Amino acid sequence: MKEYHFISKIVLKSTVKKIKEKTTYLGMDNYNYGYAYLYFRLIISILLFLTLFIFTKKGFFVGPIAVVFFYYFSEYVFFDLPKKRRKKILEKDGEEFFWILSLILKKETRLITALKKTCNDLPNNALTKEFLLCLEKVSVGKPLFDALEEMQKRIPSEKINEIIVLLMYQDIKTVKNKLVYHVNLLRKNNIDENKHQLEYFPLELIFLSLIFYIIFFLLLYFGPKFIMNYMLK
Amino acid sequence: MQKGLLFILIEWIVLFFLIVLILILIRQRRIAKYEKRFRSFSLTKDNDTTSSIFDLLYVAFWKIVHIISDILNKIPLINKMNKFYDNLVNRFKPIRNGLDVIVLKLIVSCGLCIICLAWKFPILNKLGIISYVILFIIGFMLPDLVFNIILERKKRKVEEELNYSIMILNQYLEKNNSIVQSLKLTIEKLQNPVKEEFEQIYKDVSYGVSIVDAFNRFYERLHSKKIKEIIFMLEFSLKENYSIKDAFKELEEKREKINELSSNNIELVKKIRRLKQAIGIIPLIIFIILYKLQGNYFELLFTTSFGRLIVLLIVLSYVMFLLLLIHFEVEE
Repeated sequence: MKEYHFISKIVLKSTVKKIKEKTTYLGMDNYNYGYAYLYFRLIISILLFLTLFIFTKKGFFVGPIAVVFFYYFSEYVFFDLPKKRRKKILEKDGEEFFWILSLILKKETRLITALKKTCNDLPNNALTKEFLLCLEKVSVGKPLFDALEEMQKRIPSEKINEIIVLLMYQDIKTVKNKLVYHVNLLRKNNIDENKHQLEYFPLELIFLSLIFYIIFFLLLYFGPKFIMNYMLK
Repeated sequence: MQKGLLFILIEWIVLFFLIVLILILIRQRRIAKYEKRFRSFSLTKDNDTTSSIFDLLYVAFWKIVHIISDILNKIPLINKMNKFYDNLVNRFKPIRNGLDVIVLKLIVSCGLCIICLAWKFPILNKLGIISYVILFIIGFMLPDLVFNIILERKKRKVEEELNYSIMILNQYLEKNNSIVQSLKLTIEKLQNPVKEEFEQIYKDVSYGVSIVDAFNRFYERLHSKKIKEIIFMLEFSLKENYSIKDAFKELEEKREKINELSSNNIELVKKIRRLKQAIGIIPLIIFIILYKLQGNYFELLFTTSFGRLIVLLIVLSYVMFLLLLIHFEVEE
């Protein structure tokens, strides 16, 4: 059944398509989140424009700028940031998932049973949810190739998509040999990313400490002066 | 500084203890002399069964704590406090239950209050009774802080040497030893504190606990992610008809590769930890220097009611800052 939403008659069709793509990247089969976001953005931007236009002196100038800023910034907050976060989580969990898969494939000959076993071993992994959905479709009657192709659209990470392509096209023997290489690649990528974060961490620490130090010494310096001038008179 | 009656009393008590200590020392010296003389004739040369002075003091202190906690244990409502501090019970030997920890905390806080009462610090006299309440709370929190620091250090040391111990365990497993045998053999090559932990694991296994449960207990003692990996591999080997030998081999290979790649990160993490400590201590040092240089300027903070409010604000913000520093943990 096709979903009918009134918002699709108002907004450009290309934006609806874009938002649908972005909702799939967040791992959702429903597009309700995307449509709700479109309603939210339209209503809030209209309200923001009206309030700025009516209640401020230079509203004709400030209003449009604020609305345009909100229009793009909200998309960043609701879609791009969660996508980045999801990518990081998937790459971190994917390392463990495919490592276990490579271990199981040493004794297992069928790919589907190996995937089922890894899903059983790692119930809290982020990738198991995706693979279980894929395996459910396979059990109904869909070929594994198509199910994996559908799953590929839900995952924002390129490195994991490469491995899924490997599972789609190659035989078990080549998968066994190449999976170890890909797991090492993921591991190296994760460690490099962690290093990048660690290098910036001292800067964040120093900024935090500066804010606190300023509060601390302002209170120490101006506290007695304030008491001398105002409280004791 | 004025000398109160309490100060003089504490001085006398300390002097009395010093004299007793000197007498014990003289007695110990005599024992050592005899031991030296008979050493060359005895069969067990290195088996020293006598206890040293600090050993005696340590035992006596814990005996007092145990006696007080036993008395408190008979009161029905306080009896329920046994359930607190359950995480400390298995890790430190003299602690038997939660009441021991509470009694220890009370002793420390009372001692801190008495010392500060005797010395009569000028800042404390200006603040009045509130300062002693604050001191009591600080004394109550102090053992927690010390226990946490000890446990954290132990955890770090164990994590550093866990890779090495897995390597040795793997070597013995490859020579077709069973896991219990190889555990026994690895213990001889390890150093504390990993040795202690492995000995505990071996004890558990020899009493009949399964290997996975023994490692689970190890995880409960120090909540480390690296131990969780070992547990996962053991469970994995049981589920998938994988031999423990192969599972440990794979684990060792994985850890080797990660160590190769993340050698820079470990150094970075150490540097960040030092930076955190420095950032936390600097404001305290600067405040002490300022107070020593111009103490009169800050007197208004302690004498007026508005000033005390400002002091409370400063202390609260400092505690907030320290908690934030602890919250931002980094991983290798």
